[in-house]
Amino acid sequence: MKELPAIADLSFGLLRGSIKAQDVVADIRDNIEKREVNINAYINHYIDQAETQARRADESGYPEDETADLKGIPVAVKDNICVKGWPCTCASNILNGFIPPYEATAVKRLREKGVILLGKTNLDEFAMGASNETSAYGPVRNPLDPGRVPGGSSGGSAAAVAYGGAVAALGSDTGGSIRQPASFCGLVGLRPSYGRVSRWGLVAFSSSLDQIGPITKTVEDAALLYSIIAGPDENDSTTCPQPPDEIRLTGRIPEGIKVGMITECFEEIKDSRIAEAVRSPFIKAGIDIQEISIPLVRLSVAGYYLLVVSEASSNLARYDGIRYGKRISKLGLTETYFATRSQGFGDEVTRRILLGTFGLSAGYIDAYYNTALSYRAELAKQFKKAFDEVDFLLTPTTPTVAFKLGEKIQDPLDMYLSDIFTASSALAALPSISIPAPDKVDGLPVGIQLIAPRWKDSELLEFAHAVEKI
Amino acid sequence: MPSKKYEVIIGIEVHAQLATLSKMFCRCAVEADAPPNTKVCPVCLGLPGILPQTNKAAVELGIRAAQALGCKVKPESRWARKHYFSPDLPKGYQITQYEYPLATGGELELPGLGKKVRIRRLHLEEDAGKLTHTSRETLVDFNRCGIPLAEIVSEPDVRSPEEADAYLKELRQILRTVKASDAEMERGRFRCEPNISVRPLGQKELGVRSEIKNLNSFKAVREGIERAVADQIKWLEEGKEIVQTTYLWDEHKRELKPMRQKETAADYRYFPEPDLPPLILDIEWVDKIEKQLPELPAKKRSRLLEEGLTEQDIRILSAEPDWESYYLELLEKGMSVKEASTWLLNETRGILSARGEQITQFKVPVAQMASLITLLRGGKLSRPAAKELLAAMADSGKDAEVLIKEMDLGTVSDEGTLEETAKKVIAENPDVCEKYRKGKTNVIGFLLGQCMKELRGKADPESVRKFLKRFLD
Repeated sequence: MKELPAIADLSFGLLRGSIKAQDVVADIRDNIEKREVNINAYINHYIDQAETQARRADESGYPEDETADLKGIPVAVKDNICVKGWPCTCASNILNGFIPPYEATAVKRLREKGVILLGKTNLDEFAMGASNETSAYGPVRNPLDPGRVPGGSSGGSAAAVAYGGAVAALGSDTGGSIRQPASFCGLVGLRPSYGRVSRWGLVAFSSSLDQIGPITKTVEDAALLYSIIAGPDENDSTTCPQPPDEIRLTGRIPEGIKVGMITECFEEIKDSRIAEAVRSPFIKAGIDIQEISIPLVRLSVAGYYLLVVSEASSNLARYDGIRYGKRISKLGLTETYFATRSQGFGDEVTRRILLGTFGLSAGYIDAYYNTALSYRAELAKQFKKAFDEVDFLLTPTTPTVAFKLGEKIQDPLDMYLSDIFTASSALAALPSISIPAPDKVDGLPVGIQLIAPRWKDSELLEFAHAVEKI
Repeated sequence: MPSKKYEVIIGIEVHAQLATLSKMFCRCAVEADAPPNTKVCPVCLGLPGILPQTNKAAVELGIRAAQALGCKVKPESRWARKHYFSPDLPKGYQITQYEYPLATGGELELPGLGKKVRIRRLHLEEDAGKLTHTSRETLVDFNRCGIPLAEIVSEPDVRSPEEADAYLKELRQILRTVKASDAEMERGRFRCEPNISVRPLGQKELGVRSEIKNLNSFKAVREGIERAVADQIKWLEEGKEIVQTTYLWDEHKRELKPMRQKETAADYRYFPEPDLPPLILDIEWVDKIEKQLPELPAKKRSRLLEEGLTEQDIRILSAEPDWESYYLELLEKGMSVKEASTWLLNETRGILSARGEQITQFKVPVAQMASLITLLRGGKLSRPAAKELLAAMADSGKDAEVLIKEMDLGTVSDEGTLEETAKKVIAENPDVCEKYRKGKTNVIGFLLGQCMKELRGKADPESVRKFLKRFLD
């Protein structure tokens, strides 16, 4: 495999003329040709178009101005984020043939800065999964160990970056879908504060939780992509109207910083080597780490799933085969609906639609959806209180390292528990990042998750950057 | 169908299309009648990955309508999703307001009935598309999809089909007055769904409700309600159990077709719309909108009553904006309330209805009508002649002055002729004159009539009366 540079190094090389975008894209083509058949990270790639774009970028040169911040940088996009004119499948049969006539705001912003788009990466169907095994386009394998999963749902994005199929990628995170695959593939994954990055053009799974974010090799790269895609968007009424703070990456651990290890998470870890791998850089750097209890975190998987299945049942109601995508025509309307939706959706999506429909039904909504809503509000309060004590919160990103293909797919509950450390900060709308721990476990990467107060995305990136350097 | 044994309880839901230029949550033009599926975009088509953005103009019209109905506009309201599957509902849910509506607690006065109907709430939502069924297939047009609606829900204060009719007409008038909606029922921009229950007089508990949809005219509303009431009374008399049912009104057969019963009632699975933050209103903005409201129908009616119009005149004017604007222009030209109402609401209305025409087809401009009235007022035209003239003007569209000459309608004002005529009539009717002189002065009317006949109506009766009196006394 041909090693690809990080965005920051590539940008610098392009500017100095020591690297050509064409050469990088050629390396990506090589890597894709060698690994894609086994890894299956892309649903569709457009490497020919990317080569043309790279050549044009090299020919027109790399001016030192803001319009070319990311000129010539090859990036992949998760296939639930719309790119105008490219099929958007969400890894589901029900969207067969659907080509969006619009572009996601995040993608548009990257393109405006000169990014070269490589293609659309594989994911769990409609981003529902933690192993990338629910894709209608087949599972993605972990490039670090092809017998294992890359994590999900942004498994394709993480795998592509991990094997050199892209310099960086966009993913989406609802309850851990950026952070968990980043952790399994030894990469950096940032889930921004809810409302930081526009969801316009991101196919909704659970609207009150979905956020787009970067999966990259380094924190610096994550910061580079984040600073372009973040910010208010009039097309998404849930974006924060204030622009994000500037990011200053110094690599220094600020004086007197306090980090809280969430007791309830560390208690859950069966393999003490994981907890050790997460703690060790902090101990090494002499950072003040203390245990802090956020009792409601224990219920986060239950609370999270009640909310997401409810919202998913609503968001996925539109896939009826009437206007776009796959239609299984039957004699009557109801029969057509049944056939289209039964055949178009895979098992996991069907399960969640059924659960969510039930959870919102008259007579049950108070027990399920509304209870989860009040839980969410209480959880956010407990987080807020914790941040009175500490600057950042720390957990492992996942309770285990990358597990084997097929290991959990038959047991949905076990699979749902993969989100145990990532769901709670998503529920509380907090920015969270996963960075690889210096130590591995059984030769596989371990993810360190850092969580910051809402809207403190820039500080989170600055701190994560410093921790990464330890 | 007044019944002495039963009481009829009616609540009414109205969906009024708000008169915005663009849709509720996207920038598509509001043109439901444009060629099918030409006024659509990814937002109103509910394509994947697309988000709604609230149209402030629609919120403003909703606020205006709410204020005109005396509702309290809430500083914070919220959006919700209402789910059901239908090919004309592209997202599989409608964005509406549920637990937290835009406004609550208003009332509406039924004109001429001395009664008020309370308004429970007014909320905003988006319209669905339109299905056209052919013998072979069903076609869907999304032009209407996403057009802003105000749903206005009354309390169950309506007691008869007549009151329902009055409520709807007054509501329509209010919405038009504040320009929140053109409320054209025939074009589906003002859709009403009454729910009706009947209970024995004196019973506290409400009866079981029948709801009616697809009522596309005031006539249909009256007939539909009458049908539902008659059915329910019949079932009560027969001791049958009534099941809560939603009916569709069949315009052709003029009957109620059951659509669904309570057991199969839709579960809409309402929940908060996560794509839109709560609708938080700037109080100053809301106050400013209220200050800019025009004079509302009820207030205008009481003013016109004070100014001397009859209730019937007011009813005509308030129901028909084209008549009203003609009328108001006449007042502006200095005509009195009485003159305007006589010549417009009596005479013109008579002429037009005989011809089967609308006021918009009336060939007489306001200025010409005003000069006719002025001529009459100045004694230059007799009343019968004025009527004849108006008919001719409505016929030809010619100016009053021109027709007066052509038709020789001007009054005889030559004193000699009037004097001679008076003398002649007195001479021809000695008996009548005798009566007059003995004190029965009202017989002068007969003599006056005779004079006018002689003069072929072309005289000012008051001048003639003057001569008669001079010779008789």
